[in-house]
Amino acid sequence: MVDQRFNELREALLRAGVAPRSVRRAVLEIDSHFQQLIDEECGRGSSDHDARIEAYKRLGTNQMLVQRYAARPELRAWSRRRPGICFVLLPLITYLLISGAILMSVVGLAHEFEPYLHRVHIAPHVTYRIDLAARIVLLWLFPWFVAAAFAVLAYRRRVALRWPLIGIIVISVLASLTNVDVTLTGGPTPGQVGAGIGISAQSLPEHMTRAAILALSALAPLWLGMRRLRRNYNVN
Amino acid sequence: MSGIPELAVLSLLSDREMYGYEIARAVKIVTRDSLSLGEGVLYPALHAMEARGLVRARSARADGRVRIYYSLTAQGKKRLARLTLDWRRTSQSVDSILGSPSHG
Repeated sequence: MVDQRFNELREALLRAGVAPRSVRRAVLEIDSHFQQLIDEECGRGSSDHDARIEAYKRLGTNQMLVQRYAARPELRAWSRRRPGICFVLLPLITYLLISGAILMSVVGLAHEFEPYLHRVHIAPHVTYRIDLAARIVLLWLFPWFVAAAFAVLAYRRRVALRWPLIGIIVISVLASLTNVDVTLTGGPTPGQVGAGIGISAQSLPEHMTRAAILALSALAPLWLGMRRLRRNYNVN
Repeated sequence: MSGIPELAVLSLLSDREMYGYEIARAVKIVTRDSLSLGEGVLYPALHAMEARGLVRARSARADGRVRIYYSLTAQGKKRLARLTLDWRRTSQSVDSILGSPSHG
């Protein structure tokens, strides 16, 4: 079982920007070293209490260890060296690329089944449901998923809230300005698939509401997680 | 003096693979406690050496505990040779300045 001191060490290393992989290794090895120091001290006849005190002393303080790790640039997480790229640019690119890929797949499928679509007539309520499903997936679920995934990553890396916040807001605003139209009717003109980005004064409140709902729902778990950590480890 | 812990660790690992506690003990024994620093400080140094490709690590279970064994890579051997040469030059220079009998 990992000593509380090592839980605090793990948290302090993550906050110092050390890569999570290095943090896991550090805690594993330092804890194992600590246990062996206790065995060594007990072997010399020390009581368990004295052995622990001596083992702590020989290992050095958490503060000293964190300083040594933080001073090694090669052990810093890439996301902490380039937070703007990792938590703003990368989510944006991911969102745009995957949205484009999903839309292209829908167009490709519609094209593939075009001869079949010419022969059938799709009932209006089915056309409506297909369109609604496409809107829910592309305009709500998918941007939320991308924003939340990067929020989780930011939480795990203990990145300052401002970076994922900017990324989440950018994706939410972009998603709120995006429109998707999947109209599959069948028959001689079997339908159309379209997407675009636009804003109008009339629809501004709707866009803003969509952006706010997306941003808050992606941000809430991150904010709650960070608040819990601050309370548990008494850090700012 | 900043390269001394690195030189000591690389030199110890040139004989055989070792895990952190073993390295710390060996450093204490070999230097007769003259290199006194928190033993935990060994790990950032080892992890940085691994990131630079000087040592490689493998995990193994012993006595119910996971141990990470470190061994020297080809790059680590070159680095050790370089640091040893640098150290000998520095040591000779200091000996000369101090008028050491071994260089008299």
